[in-house]
Amino acid sequence: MAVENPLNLSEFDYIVVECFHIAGFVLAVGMTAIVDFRLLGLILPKQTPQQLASATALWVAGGLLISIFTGFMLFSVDPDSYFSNVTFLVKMICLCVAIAFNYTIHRKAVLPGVTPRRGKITACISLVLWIWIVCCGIFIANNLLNIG
Amino acid sequence: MLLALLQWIQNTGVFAYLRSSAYLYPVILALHLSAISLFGGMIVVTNLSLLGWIPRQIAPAAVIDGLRVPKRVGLIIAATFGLLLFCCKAEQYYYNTYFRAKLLLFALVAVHALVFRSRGYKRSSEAIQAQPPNPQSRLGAALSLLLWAGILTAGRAIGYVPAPPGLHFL
Repeated sequence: MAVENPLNLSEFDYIVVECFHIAGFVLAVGMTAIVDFRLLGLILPKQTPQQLASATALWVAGGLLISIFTGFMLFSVDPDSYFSNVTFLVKMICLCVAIAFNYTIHRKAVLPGVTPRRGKITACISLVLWIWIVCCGIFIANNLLNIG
Repeated sequence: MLLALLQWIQNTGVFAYLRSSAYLYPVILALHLSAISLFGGMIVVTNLSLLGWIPRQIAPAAVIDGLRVPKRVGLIIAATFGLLLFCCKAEQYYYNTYFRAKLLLFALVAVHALVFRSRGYKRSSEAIQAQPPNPQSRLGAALSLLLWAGILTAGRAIGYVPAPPGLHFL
């Protein structure tokens, strides 16, 4: 039996889910950015990158979980059109790369003894990846990366 | 008078061009959201720290003092892109209920700053070093989170209001 997706029926519910999606990634990206800005030497010089990373780790994970869960909900409204949207596919690939990067290379870059240069390069990659993913989210609407 | 000014703004060459550009308009929107993501985390972390929900190894005072200037820089960047978006559709935004709600919430953020800055946030520099945050600064932090969540929600909802008929786009 076909079951109607409730998000297809109510624009209000859809917007609420979108707001949770945004709040979730603001939490995850924003908290990660604090560690990145510290690795770049721009903020909070008295705290070590490791202290900031461990203080924000739970919030980053929580934000990621919220945005992924709500992301699936938004996706469920029209899976076919998302799958044929190049921008969406690019976003998903970059998201997988960013999450893997965050829990491997990024996690190690905050440890004591890591050279500042390596910390800065890691921070730049992290910032670019996450900003690009946020931008892709906007670009999905017009499938902006669909060239040709 | 105000409406005439807004119509003039949206029809200046730059904003008419941005509005009709298939690439630039979404790029500005994306940069607005990126700035919110990067600097929203600083607002959240400041308030969580005042609430005592960030591990104590990071002193709230250090977070509040250290992030004050970066948060201002972030607000200016996000607001600049926001202003560009507004100017592209100034007349339409004038009629938009959620845009008005967003402005009202920004005004409340300013009131919040006036009320709580001298109590919770500023005093925390000296007062909350090791002991848990006082109820007043916790209240301030909770209200701040609520206000910013409201701004985020209103901002997202702006795009869902259909343009009223008879706008004066040239």
